[in-house]
Amino acid sequence: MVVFIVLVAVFAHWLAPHSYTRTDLFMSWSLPDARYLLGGDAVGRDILSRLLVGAQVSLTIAFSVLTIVLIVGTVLGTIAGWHGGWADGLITRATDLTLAFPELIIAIIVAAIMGPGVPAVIVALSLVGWTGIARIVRSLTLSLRNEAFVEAAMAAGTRPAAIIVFHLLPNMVPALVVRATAGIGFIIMEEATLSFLGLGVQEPQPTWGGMIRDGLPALRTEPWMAMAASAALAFTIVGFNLFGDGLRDALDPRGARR
Amino acid sequence: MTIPVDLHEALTIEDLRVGIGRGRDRVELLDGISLSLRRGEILALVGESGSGKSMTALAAARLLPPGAELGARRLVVGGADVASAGGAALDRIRGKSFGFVFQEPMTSLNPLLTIGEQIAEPIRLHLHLDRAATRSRVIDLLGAVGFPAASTRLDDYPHQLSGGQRQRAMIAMAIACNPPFLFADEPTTALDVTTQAQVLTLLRSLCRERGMGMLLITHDLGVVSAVADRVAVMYAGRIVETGPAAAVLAAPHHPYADALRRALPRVSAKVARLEALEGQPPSPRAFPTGCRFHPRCARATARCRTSVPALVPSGLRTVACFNPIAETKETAP
Amino acid sequence: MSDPVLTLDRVSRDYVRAGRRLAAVDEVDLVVHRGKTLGIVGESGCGKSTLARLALHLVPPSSGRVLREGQDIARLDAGALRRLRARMQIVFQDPNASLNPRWRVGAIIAEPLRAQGWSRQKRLDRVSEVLDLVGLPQDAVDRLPSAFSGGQKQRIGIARALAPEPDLLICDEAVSALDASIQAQILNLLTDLQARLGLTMVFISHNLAVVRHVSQRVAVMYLGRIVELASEADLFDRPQHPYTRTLIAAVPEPGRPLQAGSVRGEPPDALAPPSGCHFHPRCPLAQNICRRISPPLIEAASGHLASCHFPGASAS
Repeated sequence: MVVFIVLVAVFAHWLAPHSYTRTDLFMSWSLPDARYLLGGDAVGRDILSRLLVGAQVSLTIAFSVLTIVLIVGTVLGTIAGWHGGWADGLITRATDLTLAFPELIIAIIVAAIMGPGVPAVIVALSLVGWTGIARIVRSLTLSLRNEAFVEAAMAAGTRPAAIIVFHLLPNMVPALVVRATAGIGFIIMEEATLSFLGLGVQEPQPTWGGMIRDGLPALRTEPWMAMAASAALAFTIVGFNLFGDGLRDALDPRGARR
Repeated sequence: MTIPVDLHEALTIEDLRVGIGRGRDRVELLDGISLSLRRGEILALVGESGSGKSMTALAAARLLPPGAELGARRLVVGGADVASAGGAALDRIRGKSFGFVFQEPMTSLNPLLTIGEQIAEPIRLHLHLDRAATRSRVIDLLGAVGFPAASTRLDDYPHQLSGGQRQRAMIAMAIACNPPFLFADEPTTALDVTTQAQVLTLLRSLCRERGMGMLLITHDLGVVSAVADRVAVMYAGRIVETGPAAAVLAAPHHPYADALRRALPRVSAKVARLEALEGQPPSPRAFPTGCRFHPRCARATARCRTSVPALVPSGLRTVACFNPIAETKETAP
Repeated sequence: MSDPVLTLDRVSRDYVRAGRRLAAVDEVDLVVHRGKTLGIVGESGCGKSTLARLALHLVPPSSGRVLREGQDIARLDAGALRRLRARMQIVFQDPNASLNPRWRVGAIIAEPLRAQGWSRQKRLDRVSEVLDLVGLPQDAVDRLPSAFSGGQKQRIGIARALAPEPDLLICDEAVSALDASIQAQILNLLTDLQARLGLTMVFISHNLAVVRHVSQRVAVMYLGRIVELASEADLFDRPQHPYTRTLIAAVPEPGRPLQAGSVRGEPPDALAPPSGCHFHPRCPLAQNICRRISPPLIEAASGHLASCHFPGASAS
């Protein structure tokens, strides 16, 4: 599933049967037919094409945010958990402060500074998202550093940085994989919220969140656009969750090989 | 306690079997365990981890996890037929006909209830006393298990007690309804040595005073010698030797019981080198054929690999071995 | 006796719990001589595990000095400390917890070597050597700890400790989690290795019989202090401190009646230790002086130190 989704996103422009920007007012809210397989939207653009290109935009945002958030959150979380003291205090305050701001305020500020668009969405969501990872990593670090094998590594003379990289991080991966795959859905939905408010991705560039939003007013009469985008989103979320579960099981040393 | 103590059976287990799984995944954890105890008597069930000693107590108390299948010719605990009892009947038997003391007093007590409330629970369930009578009985029990100033400790929560006190509270709970029989599963393993001595002494005097039978499960031969009248040694789901504790510990007839004794370092004298038993206990998924001890046994012969030795009486003892250490009158059939 | 491998000079370690000072280790003086085993016994909370961590400089002392061959460990720079770590190793109690479940056995054993910057080929050769030394098969290197039984895991832990060729080995409850028959195997392995490699050992355990079996000298700890220190035979056969006598009497052993009568109460709260001699509330011999003055650890018999106002006296 995941491979399929990623391939579709990467080759979206080749796969799309029509231009995702070309409007054709005769096709406005047209029913699915042989030409527009999933019908047309309010201004008569091909929904299938927009869905495929939207996959690219949505997943680009999701993966970018996820990568930034994982790196920043893990680095700050391990520093806070391992070092303790003032570093811990500083980082914990920073997460509390970030969580105290409504994310929309942050997004508005970022959009105001950078101007709306894909980069602004990535920065805004990353600014909010790192706190969750940092908190998890910090508590994992705190519990893992009390493990006897970490003490054994210290007794062996292994440097703290090496202990973090070789002992702590591998034991955090399962929890982080689960968290990250579950996070993809959230990120796509949040991007939709931002785009809805005009702070995110701008027309005519399509995103799944934007398509759901545009389809909602017409849900009663012409439901296919919102449904097609929702189905794609659900498919992606389920796919990544299954992928995460499989990855976690494969990484479990007890199940790996006997 | 007007009935003469020795006429009363406290526990009878005959041909107890426990298995899990089906078909090719079938694993027999216990294979034909038979034990009997009179009131006031203490039988120690000794063995290493995985030998099935705890499983035997759990099975006899009908506390096995779901999925484990139990079979027994006879299973009478504290005068109650446990084998045939179902859900509601079992609830009436547990606590009244027998008590159960677990290894870890911290996890076996509810952290949110005072010890007074927890000890009152079985009294309320089985004896239907009023509040005042229940309270005075709880105070009596705490005194009986050695709580100084019992009436002031009633409202303590488990975390306010030391490890030894928690285990005493656990014992008070187990004997609250004056059961004729007590299971004690490694009751002192989590305790320090001085506290262990106190709790063992307490358990022994409770059995004597109340005419209560006790099955004491332990891995420690020292604990066996400190409190037990008789001992049963288990290996890989079977009993290999039973008899009077002092005699068996002094001169075991079964090679495994002998090896256990020889592997033990002593506080009373230093030996140059321990006689370690090589290898490790088998997993239930790969129990050896014949006598399950034969791969680690120095006395094993071809016969040990193919046929299972039965527990054969020899004086006050029973031994399951084709080549026992001492010369016995009877020869194995 | 000469050639001290490890010296503890009035070493204390405090922790703050619930706003109060807890002296986990309280002004301990100890000398560990080359090639010998020093046993340390005591009940839970007496500070014996903290003592192990102080000796290895895994925790720094609050006061006092830990000397390695006369040199203060706290004064070493990071590089010198790392080189020293190779020469003092520890075997932990729980082999399930002290081996990283995600590492292969070869990597686990080689970890102290990698920390010392050994080349890959030298590491491989040494891992193979120590596997032989502890009686594990060579193909263990590619397997995960979960593939091994408890006794074998403890052998892996011992192999890791021996890999960088230490001269000092600290065993913290190293056989306490093992079954009787496996415990004997590991004890024999440790004593054999000590004889073959000339190791100096500190053997920490709550199990008096095990400590007696492996040690030449034994220290008894109670609430952070050493209360008695003597040769193995003197300490177990002629104990001078009433606490030591209590401990020995409380050990159940086949062929010995259990004497629980001499023990009163349980170890007190370490946050509020009793005045004077910490043991006085439980001691059958306690007099007024015991409540007021903490007895120093002095020679009660030849080469036999005890911290008691009435050493050797019996309750009557």
